[in-house]
Amino acid sequence: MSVGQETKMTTKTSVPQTCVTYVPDVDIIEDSERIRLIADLPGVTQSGVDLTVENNMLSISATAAITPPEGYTLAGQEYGVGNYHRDFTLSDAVDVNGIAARVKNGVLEVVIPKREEVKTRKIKIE
Amino acid sequence: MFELTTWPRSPWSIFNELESLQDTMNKALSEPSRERPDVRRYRYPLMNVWSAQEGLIIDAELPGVNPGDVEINVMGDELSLSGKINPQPQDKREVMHRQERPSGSFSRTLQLPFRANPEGVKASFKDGILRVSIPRSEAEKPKRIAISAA
Repeated sequence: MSVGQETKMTTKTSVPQTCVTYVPDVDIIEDSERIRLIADLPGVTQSGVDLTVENNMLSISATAAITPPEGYTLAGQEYGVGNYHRDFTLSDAVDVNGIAARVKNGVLEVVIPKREEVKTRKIKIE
Repeated sequence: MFELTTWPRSPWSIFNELESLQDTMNKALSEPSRERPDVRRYRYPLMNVWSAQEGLIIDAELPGVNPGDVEINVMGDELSLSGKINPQPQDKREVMHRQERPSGSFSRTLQLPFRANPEGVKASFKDGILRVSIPRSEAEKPKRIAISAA
């Protein structure tokens, strides 16, 4: 799940010039109306996420911006800070134009509505 | 550098650790790796620790957590974090296709390399990272000793 991939950084942040790209953990939840994709992106703000859809491929790219405390030195490290990237293939049953996303508390939530014709409908028996 | 210790452990966690150790050994013998270690099964939240003379700053990765659901306790030279993350949706009509994000309750205790000043502990939460600043108690601050001329 966590295959690292090295990429060159071009942004001016405190992270080193070359840094690791991580694969974020996701939950995928479906109901009758939509599919929700929830990705853990700790350290990422709304502006740090790049979400694209191309040829039924949904791509999440993000950069974590964590400022090291001034005057302190790193004494122990359990997690790395860097970029995130993950691709997902969308089925034809979803409405690509209706995709909405938001970032809150380091979690990205992407809501992918289903097309009208594939939504489950409850049929009233008369 | 100091050792980060955790408890309590579940009796089964030893297998996770052994598995992880085996994994580490295998990787050490093959090419260098840039993988993000999946140690969260027995260690949550993951932490980065920053140190300075005045104390420590601990960054804990807690994406999606409600800051009100985290309890931070400092007693002597121990810091403990506990709380709940990602409650499962109750809606029966929802189908979970993939569940990689951790959920449930967590508790982690750290042994600090000094006695903390509990009044001075500050915590902030931003973008899924909890930052706890723990100052040393006054009695344990390094003191400069002047050498008197003989």
